[in-house]
Amino acid sequence: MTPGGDEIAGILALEPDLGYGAYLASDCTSCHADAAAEGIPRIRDLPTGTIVAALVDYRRGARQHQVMETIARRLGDEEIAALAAFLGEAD
Amino acid sequence: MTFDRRTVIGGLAAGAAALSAPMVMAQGVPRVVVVGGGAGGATAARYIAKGSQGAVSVTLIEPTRRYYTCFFSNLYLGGLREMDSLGHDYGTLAAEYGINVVHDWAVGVDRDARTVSLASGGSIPYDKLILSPGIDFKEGAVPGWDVTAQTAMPHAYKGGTQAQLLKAQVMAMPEGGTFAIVTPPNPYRCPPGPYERVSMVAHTLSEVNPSAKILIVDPKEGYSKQALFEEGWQAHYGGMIERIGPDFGGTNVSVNPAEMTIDIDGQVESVDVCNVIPAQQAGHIVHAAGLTDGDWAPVNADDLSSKTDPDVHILGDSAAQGDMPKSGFAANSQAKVCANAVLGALTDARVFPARFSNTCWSLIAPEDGVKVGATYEATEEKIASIDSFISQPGEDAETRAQTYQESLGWYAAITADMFG
Repeated sequence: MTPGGDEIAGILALEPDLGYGAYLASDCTSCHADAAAEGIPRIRDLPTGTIVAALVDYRRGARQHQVMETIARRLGDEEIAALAAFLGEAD
Repeated sequence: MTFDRRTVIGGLAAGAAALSAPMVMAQGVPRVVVVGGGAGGATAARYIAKGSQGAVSVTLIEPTRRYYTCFFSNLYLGGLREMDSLGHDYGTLAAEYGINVVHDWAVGVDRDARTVSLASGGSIPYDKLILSPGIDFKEGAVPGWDVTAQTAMPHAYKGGTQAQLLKAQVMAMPEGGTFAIVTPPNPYRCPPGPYERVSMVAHTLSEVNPSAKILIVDPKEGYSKQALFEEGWQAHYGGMIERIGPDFGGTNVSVNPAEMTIDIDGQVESVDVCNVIPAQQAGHIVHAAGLTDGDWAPVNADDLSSKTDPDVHILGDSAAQGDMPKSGFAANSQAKVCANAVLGALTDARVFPARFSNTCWSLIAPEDGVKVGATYEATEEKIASIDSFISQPGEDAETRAQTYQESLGWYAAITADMFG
């Protein structure tokens, strides 16, 4: 298991709340456009596992970005599961 | 609007809501009126219309048919953005979201009758009212300056026309001339804005008029991102920029637009361009509605409702909400929390805990971007900061260029979030 792997597997095993995910995702759309844009990647329809892994890595500081680390630090496992399920495509 | 599985899910929820909505009036669907089509108002209108799928009627009152964002207007002054690229219209909100866009001024609110009156006559009834008018200037804040002086001494702090005027004046400065900027006291819209403006004007002058000078007259001891700006100004524009703070008279300033002079604590300076950004207060309609305490309108942190009237919400610059800066990003963030609460009150939509975020990017020179930001939660007392970050002095050029690129991505995203 890679570092963070247990966390990621645990979150992927949760039953996601899509309605909560839709609300949480409104925090993402301030910066992440649906259309391709410069500077900030599109996050819609990424594989669910990719979104969970990214947020877990930002949350524990394994991946660095000032904005994303700050955003991820206040996300609990339930929130990450909900966001990934709403934004992502099932693997 | 494209229909994917998300909007289908939203549609089902809204359909159920329409059958059981607690506040549906006998004569029809509940009515939300939004005053102000900027980062707060346009976002709130769009999210309520999108979330209710027709179960709530949304009217947006905004005088301009084409809205020029104040954010990024400094990049226009720096020659890095065309004014056209900062303009947005309301066609998508009307055509795809079913929002009744009324191009008029809201001039009064009758909170007993629950109506908003329009400058053209007539009035619009509401069940929930959202006010997001941005700022107005305080009369007499800078002696000698008023709205009749804004051609000689532009404020350029509401986007569009005034920014174009200020740019033209910068370009017409005599060789070696002086650009002065009178900055406002706290609190005001976009805390780093005046200093980003200095940076962008310095960039333009360094290309077209390198012997010109910039004079900042500042009533504040310190300001947002100060260490980052000062480091950048030294590196990019060494010697061009001078700041007079409160120790040297920055709090005792008057202007004479006819003579193009500034009096700084008795010392009269002749200048070629004078950008006066006066002290600020909530937009006029918020005062007219009787919702202010002093300059701003106190709101509850969990839904941005007025502390005076639970059926009126105040977003963005006009609100006294706590720790968030007065920024377009903050208004957009508050709008989504407010939209969720309003949908919950008018339909049986689920209401989730308030959560807010903000990031303010500033450009010091082309490819030299910096940022500051935070996350926030609602407490009994206020919107409270829980975590924050800021760019560091001495960052490498690649990091700064990336930060600038990010700001471009943010502009594209937030304007899509506002206007659809």
